[in-house]
This record gives sequence, structure tokens and C-alpha cells, in this order.
Amino acid sequence: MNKNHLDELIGLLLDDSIDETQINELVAIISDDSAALQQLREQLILSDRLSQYEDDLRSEASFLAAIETRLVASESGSQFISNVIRSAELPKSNQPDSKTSNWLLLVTSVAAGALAASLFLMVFFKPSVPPANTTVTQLEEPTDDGVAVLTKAVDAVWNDENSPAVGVPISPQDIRLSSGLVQLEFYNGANVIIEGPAHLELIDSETVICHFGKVRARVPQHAQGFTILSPGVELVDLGTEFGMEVSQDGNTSVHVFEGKVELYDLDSDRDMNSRRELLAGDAVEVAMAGETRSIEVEESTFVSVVKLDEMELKSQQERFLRWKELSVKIANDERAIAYYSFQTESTTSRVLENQTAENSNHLDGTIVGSSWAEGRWPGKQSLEFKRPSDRVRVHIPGEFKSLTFAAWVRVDGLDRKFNTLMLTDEFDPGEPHWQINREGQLILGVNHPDQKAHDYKSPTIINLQNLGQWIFLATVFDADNSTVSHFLNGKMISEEALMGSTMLKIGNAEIGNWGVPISKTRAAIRNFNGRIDEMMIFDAAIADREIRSMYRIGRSR
Amino acid sequence: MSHSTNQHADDFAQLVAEQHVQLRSFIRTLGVKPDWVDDLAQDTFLVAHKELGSFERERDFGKWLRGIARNLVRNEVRKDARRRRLLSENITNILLNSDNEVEETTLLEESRMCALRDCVEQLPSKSRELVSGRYGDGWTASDMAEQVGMTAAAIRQALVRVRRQLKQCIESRTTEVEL
Repeated sequence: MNKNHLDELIGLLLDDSIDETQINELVAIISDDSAALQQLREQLILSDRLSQYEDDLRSEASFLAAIETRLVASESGSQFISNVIRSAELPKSNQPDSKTSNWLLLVTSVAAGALAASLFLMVFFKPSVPPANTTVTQLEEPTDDGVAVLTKAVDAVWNDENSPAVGVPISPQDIRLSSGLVQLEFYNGANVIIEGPAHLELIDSETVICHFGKVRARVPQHAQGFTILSPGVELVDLGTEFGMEVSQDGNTSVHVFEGKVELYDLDSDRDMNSRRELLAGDAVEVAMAGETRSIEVEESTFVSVVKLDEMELKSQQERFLRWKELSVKIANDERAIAYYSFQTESTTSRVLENQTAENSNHLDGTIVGSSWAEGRWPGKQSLEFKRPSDRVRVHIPGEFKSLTFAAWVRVDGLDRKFNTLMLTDEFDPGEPHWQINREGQLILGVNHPDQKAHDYKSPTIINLQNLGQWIFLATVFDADNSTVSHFLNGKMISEEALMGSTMLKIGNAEIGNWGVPISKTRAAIRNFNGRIDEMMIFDAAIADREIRSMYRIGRSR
Repeated sequence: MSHSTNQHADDFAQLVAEQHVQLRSFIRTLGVKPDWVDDLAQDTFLVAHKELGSFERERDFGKWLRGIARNLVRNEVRKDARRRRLLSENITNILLNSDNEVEETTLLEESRMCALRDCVEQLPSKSRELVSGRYGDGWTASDMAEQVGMTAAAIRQALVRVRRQLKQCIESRTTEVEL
């Protein structure tokens, strides 16, 4: 067998660009050549390994979180929850009984899910720590074992598969940054900037171990007592701003810019004999061996909050520019039937402009109630939907065989049974309803005239972790392949066979709310709570990789 | 009681942490589409979680999981509506019917996992760029062609070679450790 030809076919297969004929050729080769088959298998393994290593959508953290969510959701998951709860030895009277109202059951099961989830994470990441004593309060409210929040990241490259995301609480754990800068805000108020490469260990909301790397901390009066341990020294902050650098071989230098800090020998249990006090303008270097010498204070080598803000702004501006290029492409894409980029010249405008080249003005939306707000980046606008009356009215004519809905949204809460992304005014045959239910599932409801109306549902995708974060949602109604698939942040999360072949139409519709049909006196309130800063509709099934690339270019950080 | 349920959760958590990397790659070698590998791996762990009681501790966990995964992939072949999770029914059938434990585990050992990082980071910069374009950004060869100044065919060829080099690199590193 010609080896080059085999390589070419494997290359195409692993590039996701192989066609039917080439697949058949490959099948013919591997069915009677075991060496070729082995080649294919090895290439597949390496391809997957590389994808796990490179693709942050497949990181260990997101994989583990998905298992956890599915366990909680599945039947075995509820078993798991009850096991966990029972193992925490709750008094029986606190278990909901059969007379409990549905509402309470819902609240309790959500809370129990969160509890099970946090216990589950605990066994994953902190095997040595036994689960905390469970109390009734923990059952009633989701708990947070975080000690700090990651509030900024500039060009951050993590050394760990399990990389924290901006805006997400961080529980006690190791932080390994290979390059870039991040800012942590501790729950007690201390603000710490870490410059990679660095390895830190978060112990609690006021104690950090710095194994190596460079940190700058600003500690307000009320966070006094914030402590950083390095291989040679224990630093206790007395309300101040300082920098600490720990080299790979364990030497520590401390520079005080403001206020004062105390240094103690490590493991001296803050022995007063080893106590040294440093004031603003002081700097010392402590060798691993223990000897200390004064050095020049060098404030400028430690990135300050102001400097970090500047750098973050610059990186956001770059993202914004890349998005603008993409935005022009989408506007000129022939498959786009409506494209709302949510950018306006004037924030007093009550028009949501459609950007597609064709039918441009006719497709403009009318803003009712909603007000303009900041979007994914400074300078990017969005509309904020808060009140039950907030909405954008649009009219989109035409009949479509396939449709793709996609939007960048920030969900602030799931207040209603159904929370609208885009709904047609009625729900006539052929009309699609794109929305999120209270359980956080993305839904495309379609009224198939030949069948019953059907909700194509994703698993739960909106949860406590991504509330308040910008996320990219997409749903593809693919008539050619007879499927409906949902996407979160560029990744397909579910796919379901079509229940019927139906030409879709939109007509009068609303973004962020449900227009009350005149014929009906009462309609359920389905207003969206959050912000939307981009929405596009294509009359085609957009390919998986295009959705992925829209996400990668458009993501906020 | 409380001890054993905790033990159960602990065991399972440890199982997932130890096995998920290898299991995911194994599922890929059965011809599952890249976007569905993780979902099937999650299905596998959910089944394993349910069946954990019937698993005997002294048995090989990885092998047990691979057995579950193989059955799930066989189901995929049967289910018409879900056919899209596979690259090709024929390829999967060949891979399912020919795999044997000895061959498949050689590249799936724990010790070889850490070596990947070192090997990838030592790649020449052009190869490194192709790897992160393909796997980090999800571009296809033709998406990258203009930017890297190579034809799509040359990029695909280069990636086949890179994967082959990486395999050798990983194996040689593991041998060093064993010596």
C-alpha cells in the first residue's frame, strides 16, 4: 500500500475535511492492512491527546464539571445526592416529606444539587479534607467555598489543565501560572496581582503560600493580618501595599511601597525574636539559608493595579477590533437573514439596527423599555433587559428550510418558567421559539403542523457558575441532516433528531420578551433578565466549526 | 453506613480523576467524532458510577471502563439518528472488531501522559504553531493555509508527521524513566 496515500487520507480525516469517497478508500485500506490500521489508531490517540492538551473547551475542569452536573441530573445522581446527604447524618425531620409543596421541593433539590456538587468537587480536588459538617442552612442555600475571585486576567497562560475563569470564585487550591498576569480579590478585601511564571497556594481568605513568582498585594485596613508565606519567610501585612518576589531557588525579596509589614522566620510561630518590621520604602532580600540584606526598593518592576487595568484595556481593545472584523463578515454573509450587532451611534436611540446588506432598514427592531448598557468589552454596547415590559420588536419575513440562531448574552437570572431569547408573537405552525427555561436548559420550540409542537431541549447549561458571565448560545435547525443541535460557547452540547419536516417562519417577533397576541387576553410573562450584545439568524445550518470560530473570536477574554 | 457511602464517592472521584484522560483518547480510537468524544466518555463514567457496586476492586479499572465504552460505541453504530457521533460506521466497525488490549494500552499508560507536554513544548516553532492552530483554535488546514504560508495539503501532511514524532518522543521519554 502506498504509505503517502494512507498519510494523506489520515491527514484529511483528522482535519475534519474528508469526503465520502475518501472514507471508503480509507476503509478499503485498513480492512486488510493491520499496519495501516495501527497507524490510524496511533494518529487518533495522538490527535485526541493534543486536543485535550490544547483545547480549553476540553479542559479537565470542564470535563469534571460536566460529569458532576450529569450525575446530579441523572437518576443515579439523585441516589448519589441522597447518599451524600445521608452520609452527612442529617436529622430526619429536615428531609422534605411528601406533603412539601412543589416549590419547596424544587428549591430544596436545587440546593441539594449544589451541596452534592460542592461535596463532589471536594472529593475531587481536596481528597484529604473531609466534607464539612452539614447544617440545615447549607441545605437551604447553595454554599460557596471560595476564598477569592479571579477578577482580571491578561494574557494568562495556566500551567494546569484546571484553569480558573475570570469572575468565578476560587476555592483553596494551587494556582500555577506559566505566564501573563492575573488579579485575585480575596473575600477579606486584599487585592493580589500575580505575575507568571508563579506557583501559589491559596489556603484561606487571608493566607497564601508563594512557592515562587512575583506578587503585588494591596491590603486595606480592614484586611489587616493578610499573610503570605514564602519558602524563607512569613509576611504579615499591617495595612499596606507591597511586592514580593520568590525565585525558583527559594530566595525571597520584599518591597514595601506603603504602610508597613512584619516579617517572621518561617515556622517560628511568629516568634518576636525573629520579627522584623519594614516600612514604606524598605526592601530586603531573605536567602533560603536565612540571611537577610537590605536592597533598593523597586516599585516599578511590580505591576500595579493601574498598570494592570491599562494592560487589560489594551487586550480588550484588541479583542473588540477582532470582533469588528468578524462583524463585517457576518453582515455580508449571504446566509444571514437578520444581524443585530447591538452597536449604536447614540445611546438614546430606540432603534436596534439590522446590519445585513439586504433589507437593511426593514429588519430594524424597535426598542421598548430596555436601555443601552455596556457589552462584552468597553466600547461594545448591549441592551439590558430587566423589567417585564422590556423588549425589542422585530419583523422578519420569509420561509426557511433550515435556521441557525446565535447570540451573545449575559444571563443575570432565570426568573420565569421560560426566559425569552427570541419568540414569535404567536406559536403558529412553523414558528420557532428560542428560549431558556427555569432549569437552565436551552430550548428551541417548534410548532410542527404535521406533528405536535416539540421542545428541542439541551441539558442544563445555565448554572450558578455562568450567571452574570458573557456566554455564546447557538441553536441549529438543520433540515438536511434532520437534527436540532444546541451549542454553548462554541461546543455542541446536544443533538436531537427532527420530529417533522417543517418550513420555518418568524414574522412578528420579539427579542427578550413575548409579544402578547392581540387575540389573547392574557399571556405568560417570559421576559429575559440580563443583557444581549449580539444576535444573528441565518437561513442555513451553520457548521460546528464556524460556530466554534465565532465563539473564539467573540469571547470576552 | 456513612463511611461506606463516603468511600463510594471517594472511589468514584478518584477513578474519574485517574482515568478520564486515557478513556477520552481511547473513545477517539473507536472512530467517534472529536466533538462527541467527551460526551461518550461522560456516558461511560455515568454507567460506571451506577455499576460501581459490581466492580471487584482487584480488577483493572481502565479495562473495565474501556469495555463499557466499547458497548456504548456499539450502540452508536446501531442507532440511526445518532449516527453523526461517528466519523463513519465502517471505520468504527473495523476499529471495534480489531482492537485488542495489548495494542491499545501501549499509548494509554499513565506515565506517558506527562511526557506529552514536554514533547509538545519542544516542537520547532512552525510545528508548534500548526498544533495550536489546529487543536487550540480549532482551525482546519485550509483555514490556516494563508496565515502560515503553506498549502492545506502540506499542513495536513505536516500534522501527520508531527503526531508521529510526538508518539516517538513520548515513548522514548517513558523508556528513559523506566531505565
